[in-house]
Amino acid sequence: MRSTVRLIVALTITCAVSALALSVIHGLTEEPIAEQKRLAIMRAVQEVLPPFDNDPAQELRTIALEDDETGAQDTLTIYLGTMEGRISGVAFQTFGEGYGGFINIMMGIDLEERISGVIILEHEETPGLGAKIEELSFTNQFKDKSLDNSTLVNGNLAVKNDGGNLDALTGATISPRGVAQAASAGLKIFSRHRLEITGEETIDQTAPADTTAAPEESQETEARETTAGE
Amino acid sequence: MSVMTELQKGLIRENPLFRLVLGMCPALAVTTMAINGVAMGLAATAVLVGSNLVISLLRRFIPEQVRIPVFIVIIASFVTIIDLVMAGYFYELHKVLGLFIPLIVVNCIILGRAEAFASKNAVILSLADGLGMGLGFTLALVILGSVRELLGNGTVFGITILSWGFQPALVMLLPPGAFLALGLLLGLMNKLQKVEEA
Repeated sequence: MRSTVRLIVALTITCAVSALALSVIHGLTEEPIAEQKRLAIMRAVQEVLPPFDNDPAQELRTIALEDDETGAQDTLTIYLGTMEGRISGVAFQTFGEGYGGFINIMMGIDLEERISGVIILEHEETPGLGAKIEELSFTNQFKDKSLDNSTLVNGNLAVKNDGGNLDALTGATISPRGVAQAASAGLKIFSRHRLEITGEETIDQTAPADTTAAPEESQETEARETTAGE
Repeated sequence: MSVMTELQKGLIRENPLFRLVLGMCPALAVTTMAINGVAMGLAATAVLVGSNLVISLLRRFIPEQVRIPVFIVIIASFVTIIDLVMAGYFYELHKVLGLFIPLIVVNCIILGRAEAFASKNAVILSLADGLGMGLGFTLALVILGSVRELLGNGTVFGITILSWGFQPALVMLLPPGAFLALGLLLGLMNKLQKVEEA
């Protein structure tokens, strides 16, 4: 009996001390981790946006998405890039399905609905194979692609193996396919929600964007910030 | 039983991967590139040194019957701490390694050294044992990763070595390549040892 009590006490003390240590470390690292994640997102935003001279962290909007648009989220935070007061492009995160799980990308789109950049934020692809989607030689090919100037398969950008015109990777087709899927989803989201995101319906390079006069009808949610374009 | 012999034995003579054949899961899964081997090896070394230290300190307090759960709790705590600290302060490194860090908990080298060495030996010797075994594991992962990266991609540490007229054997980067490379390296090690003994 005494020995049983001793076992319980020893195990309980070990677990209690471990739990205490973990909660202290968690408390200490919680903020740096959140900050690092935010910085990583902002770095990606700055890299994928077309030329801009504002601080995209200060000009963001949240829009509501319909169920079928992207698998993993129902609202979307959109970072606006402006140049001399006019919106030059937007950046936001989208998801595609890869080999090991979701692939989360940050993509930039300009006002002509062309991709201005793609960065892979998170993925669980095989190191050395699918994980090569992170490399610039792969992501750079998305630049300037749009739904109008690419060979579409089922209405999406596609890799060459599927009949599209994006290069896949040696030994990995599913991961590039996931990125193409995410990028296509992003292009469609922007095209469909263009009005509520930018406040202008068509490509208009002459008039400054006027977000205060955004039409009411198609406004599905209220923009959290309407400072863009001023 | 000097500190130096404990430190050295893990490198070659009792190399965890090539001689004890422990820790196969991370060894086979992550060694598609040499740099992954370095990162996984060093992270495992950090956990190994930490868990050996604590388990050696507590070796008189831990009752025989519950030693395994106690070891696992200690090891898992170290792994989680390293995971959190890396995510907070070495974000880029964590992005590369993040997937592999939880695997360290089930790396049997760490439990193996806790059970076979740290629970029976003094603190300094246990530290030396942990460091030596960790570095030996790292060395083995780097060799395995280099061989696979060279044959599968023509590079080592991302530097192109074989390019002209070389057709990379993709299979070396895929799971079967891990077994092929490990089997050949184990055979080579056994051969070398026989030559040495003769």
